[in-house]
Amino acid sequence: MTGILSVLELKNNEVTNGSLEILTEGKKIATEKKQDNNAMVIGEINKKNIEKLKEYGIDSLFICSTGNTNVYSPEIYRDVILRIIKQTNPEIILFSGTSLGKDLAPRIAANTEYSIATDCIAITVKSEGLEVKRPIYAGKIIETVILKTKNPTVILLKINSFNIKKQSVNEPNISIVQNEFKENYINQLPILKETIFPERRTLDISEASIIVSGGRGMKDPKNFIIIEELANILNAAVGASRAVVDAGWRPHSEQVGQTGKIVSPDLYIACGISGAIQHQVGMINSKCIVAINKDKNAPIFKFSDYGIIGDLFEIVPELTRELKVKN
Amino acid sequence: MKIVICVKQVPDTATKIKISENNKTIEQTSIKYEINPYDEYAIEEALRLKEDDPNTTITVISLGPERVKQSLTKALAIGADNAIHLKTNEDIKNPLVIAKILASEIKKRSYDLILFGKKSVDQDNNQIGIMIGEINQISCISNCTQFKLNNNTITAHREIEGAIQVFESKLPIIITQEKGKNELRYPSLRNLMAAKKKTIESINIVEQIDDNVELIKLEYPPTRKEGKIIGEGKEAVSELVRILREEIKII
Repeated sequence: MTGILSVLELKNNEVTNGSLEILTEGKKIATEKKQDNNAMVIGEINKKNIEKLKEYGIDSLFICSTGNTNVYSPEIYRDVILRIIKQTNPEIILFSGTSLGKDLAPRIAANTEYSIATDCIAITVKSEGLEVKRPIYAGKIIETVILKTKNPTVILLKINSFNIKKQSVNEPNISIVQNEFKENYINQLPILKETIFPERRTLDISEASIIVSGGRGMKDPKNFIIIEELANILNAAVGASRAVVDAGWRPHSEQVGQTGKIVSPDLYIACGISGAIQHQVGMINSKCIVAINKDKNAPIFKFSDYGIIGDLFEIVPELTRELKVKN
Repeated sequence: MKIVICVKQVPDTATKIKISENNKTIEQTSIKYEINPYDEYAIEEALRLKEDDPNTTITVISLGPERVKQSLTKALAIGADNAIHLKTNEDIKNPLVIAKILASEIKKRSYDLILFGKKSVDQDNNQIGIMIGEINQISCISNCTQFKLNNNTITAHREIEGAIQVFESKLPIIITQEKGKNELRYPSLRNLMAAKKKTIESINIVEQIDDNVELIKLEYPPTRKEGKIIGEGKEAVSELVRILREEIKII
């Protein structure tokens, strides 16, 4: 068993940033261990993206078809990945911690009996194996474990936690891998019937670099219009606290916190959110936190970079106005 | 219809977690244990299916030390029919070990619908239900906000970044449950008392040692230092905009 295998992801025909993060980390580990840095991609990848990948120090790139299936199927993707694993016998497999990576990595680990670690935020090569750090209890605690070299490993990297670094351009050895699946096999698998996008296409909080969030202090679901207006002018996503999601004011996809999403944007603006631990763990790793709250004793001010005390119904529209004027 | 839900007992999300002096375990005192929130959503889905079809039986399984019985009792009190306790001395951490134990228990009885929370809020692994699908060769649709049954067919909504994927499959199937729109129910005192009299089937689990992964330490994340109150009311807004533009240069 030797080498790194990064499983890359495409979104709207583009290689995702998460993929570039795992490639950068893969290259780093491969260099330290003096092993090959390989990668695979499932689906059609255009020339422009192949060119882009040449800047990440890949030794072998496997471009895999899904044969006669053309939508996402966990089982088909699993089969395609297992085929490349069989062919290359990697010691370390890297996935990006997206919904796709989280769906596939456990399938691979269960089939190969590789050790597995989810949501890693740091990886260090040690003589006994790979030392990884990962948040547990929604980030209230950071765990450090060693995945021993005697068993190969599957590692999911938490998105936005690693740098992307280009290497000097090299020509990877490219293999086109055609796959064909039997009709009666495909027919018994779950099938993806359709993908539903929200009526108004909004930025997802897990991908946005700025988030404007509202909490119980918003008082009424209708009042979220001022949050939306501010988000709009900042090209930000709208987030919400558990209280307002549980009350049915906002969809769960917007919930930040332990039973929602754990986010780390460049800027997080919390409006009318007190900052209960449940919420705090979901946004504490934001680069800059701004809190607007009428209660000067609200816990949120204890871990915000900047705070304004006062009525959010005056402050938030004023902020939108000010940004509009100066834009 | 036979439904099984695997539930994990975890510290309540409002609990402050304290690291023990050995830096490898967490302090057990002061922890309030609850059913993992995502597992509660899965139970709720099952209870709703039972309301539509009274022929449904709901079994709950929990792996863990003696204390997890409380969670099984709570599940019985809100409407589960049977409970199975897979008893260990302490919490097992290795996901594949957990998956194999649960997979072999699930295999004993032929369930139509096998439900999990999408993850437990202690170890945050996102793995067990999916792994059991692979081990028992049953399809698994992960991260579902809702699903509907129509005879032998299930339609499930899987949440991904910024969209919903609608999957259709035949039973049996494994679903891992994301937070849905359903409100949770709580047991009445009377049902809780009645549930305490119900038998929980107990099976002793021989714990396997996994030495492929070694825990080095637990630590708290770096703390953020308390920031600056810029001011009060809308008069403070222009200073905030100036800081974000000129000092932090985020906008």
